[in-house]
Amino acid sequence: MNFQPKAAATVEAVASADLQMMRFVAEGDERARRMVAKRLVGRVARLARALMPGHPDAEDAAQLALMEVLRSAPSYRAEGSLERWADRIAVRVILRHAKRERERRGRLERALRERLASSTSIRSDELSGTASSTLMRLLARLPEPRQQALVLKYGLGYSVRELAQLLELPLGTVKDRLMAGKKELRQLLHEEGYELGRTGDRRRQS
Amino acid sequence: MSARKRSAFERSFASDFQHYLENAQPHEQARLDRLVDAVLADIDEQDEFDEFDTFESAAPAPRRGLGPWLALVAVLLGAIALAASWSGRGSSRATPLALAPTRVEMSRVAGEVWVNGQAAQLGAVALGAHVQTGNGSACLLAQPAGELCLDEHAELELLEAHTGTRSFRLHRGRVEVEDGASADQGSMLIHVGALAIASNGARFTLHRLVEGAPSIEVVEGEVRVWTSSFDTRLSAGHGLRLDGSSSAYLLGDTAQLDAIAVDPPPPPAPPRSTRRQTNEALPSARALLEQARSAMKSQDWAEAARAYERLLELHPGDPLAPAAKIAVGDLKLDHLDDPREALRAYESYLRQPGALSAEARHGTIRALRALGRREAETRALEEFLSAHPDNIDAAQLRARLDELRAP
Repeated sequence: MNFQPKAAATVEAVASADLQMMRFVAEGDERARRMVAKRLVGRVARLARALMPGHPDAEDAAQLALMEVLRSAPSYRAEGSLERWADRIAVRVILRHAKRERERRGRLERALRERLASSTSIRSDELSGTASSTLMRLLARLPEPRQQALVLKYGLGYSVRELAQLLELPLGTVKDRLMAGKKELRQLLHEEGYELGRTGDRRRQS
Repeated sequence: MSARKRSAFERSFASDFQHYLENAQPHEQARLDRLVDAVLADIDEQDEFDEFDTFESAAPAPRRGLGPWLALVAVLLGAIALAASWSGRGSSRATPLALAPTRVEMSRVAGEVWVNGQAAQLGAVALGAHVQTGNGSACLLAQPAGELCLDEHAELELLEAHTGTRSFRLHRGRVEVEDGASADQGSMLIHVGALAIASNGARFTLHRLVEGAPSIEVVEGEVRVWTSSFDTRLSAGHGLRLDGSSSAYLLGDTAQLDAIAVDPPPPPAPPRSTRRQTNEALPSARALLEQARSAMKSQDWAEAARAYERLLELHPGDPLAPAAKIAVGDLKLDHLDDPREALRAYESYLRQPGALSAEARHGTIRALRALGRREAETRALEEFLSAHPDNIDAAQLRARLDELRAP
C-alpha cells in the first residue's frame, strides 16, 4: 500500500528537481547547462544515430538537437520526464537535419548510400557504436525509411498520424513503411534466432 | 500517442529501444564529452544563443534610481551587481523584453584595428572579443540600432549582445556611441572603470585614459550614469567625470556630484574586521544551490526553501538569484502551504522580470487563488494573458478568468 505513494512522491521530487534545474538552464547558468547536456548527450546522440543510420552527419544532428534542447529550457514544464521531453525536441531537429542533408546530397549520392546500406557490417557499427544492441544491429539492416518509422513508432511511441506529420508523408505511406519494416525485422530476428524484449543479446531458446 | 493496447512486439521493441537509448555504448564516452563541449561552446559563441549569457539586464529600463538594497549589493558585489542593477526598478506590470538574438558586427575598419590581437575584418564580433585600435579607427554596429565608433588607441570589449542589453566595457581611449534603440528594444550598457552608463536612444561620448578616470559627455537624449555611490541622469549638453578616487564631478563644474545623487547613500558598512570575518564564513551561491537541490531530491522542502532563501539573502545580485526566487515561490506554494510568502517571492521576481516571467506570473495567480483574493487573481490573470497570450496555460487561465468574471 505504501509503495505507490512513495514512488509517486519520488517521481514528483525528481520532476521538481529537474524543473528547477531547467529553470537555471533557462537563466543561463553554465553549470546547470553542462549538467543537463551531460545527462542528455548520450541519449540524443544515440537517437540521432538511430534516425540517421549510417549518416556521417548524425553527430552534427545530435549537436544541433542538444543545443535546441538547452535553448528550449524555458518551455520545460516537468509534465513528463526530462528525457522524454528532450526526445521530442531532438526528434524534430534530427529529422529536419536529415531532410536537409538528403536534399543537399542529391539523388546520385543517395543511390550510392542505399547500395552501401545493403552492406550491413559497416552500417550496424556506425549505428550502434559497437553493435551491442541486437535490436539496433538488426534495424541497421533495414532500409533507412523503414528503420526511421519503426524507431519513431515503436521506440518512441509516436502515433501514425504524428509520424506522418513529422516525416511529411501521407498516412498510407507511413503505414506501409511500418508494416514492411515490422515484417522485415521479424524475419531477421527469426533468421538470427533472436527475440526482442530481453534488452540484451539473448538468443531464443530452441 | 496511440492509446490502443500494444502488442508483445511493440512492447519488446520499446523496451529494447529504451535500453539502447539509456545505456552508453563502450568507447562512446570520449566522443560524447567532445560533443558536450562543442554544444556548450556553440551556445556561448553563436549569436543566436547569446541570450543565455545574461538575462538580468533584459528588464525594462528603469525610471527610478537604485534602491537601498541594491546599493548594498553594490557594496558587496561591486561591478557585477552594477551590471545587474540596470534592470533596477521596473514596474511589475511592465512587459518583459523578449531576449531576441542580436548581432554586433564590425561595420567600419580604417587603419590599424585588431580583434583579439588579429587584424580586424568586417563582420560579426564574438562575445568577449576585445576590439583595439592603433593608428586607426573602427565602428561597431550593435543591432537592433546602435553604433559605437572607436578613435585611435582605444580598446572596447563586447560583454553581452542580445536585444535586452548590448553591453560593452571601454578599457581605454575614446568612443562615440549612438544608441538608436527605443525603450522596448532594450538598452545599451557600457562600463568604463567604476562608471556604468545605460542609454536608450541617446548619443554620447566616453573617454578613458589608460588607467585614468573616465568621463562622459551627452550629445543627444538622456543617459543614466551610476557607480556604487551615486546614480543620476544626464541630458544633452551635460557630462561628468570621475577622479582617481571615483568621486564624480559635473563637467565644467567643481562641485562634487554626490550633491545630486538621486538615491540615499548606502547603509553604513560594518566594521572592516567584522565584515571580513563574515565574508569568510559565507557559503557561495553555488554551494547553496547544491544544498537546495540535494534537499529537494530528499523531499526536504523546508530545507530546500531555506537554502534558496539564504542564497537570496547572501547573494542577491548573483545570476542564480532570479531562478531561486521562483524556486522559493514554488516550494512555499506547493509544499509548505505558505501562499503569502510564495506571492512575495513571485512578486520579487517580477520586479526585475527575466526569462521566467511567465512562471512567476503563473505562480502569482496560483498564490492569489490559494489566498482567496479573487479580485487580485482576476487582475493577475488579465496581466498574464496580456503578456503571454500564447502560453501553454493560456486556455486554462482564460477559463478561470471567465469563471471569476461570471456573476
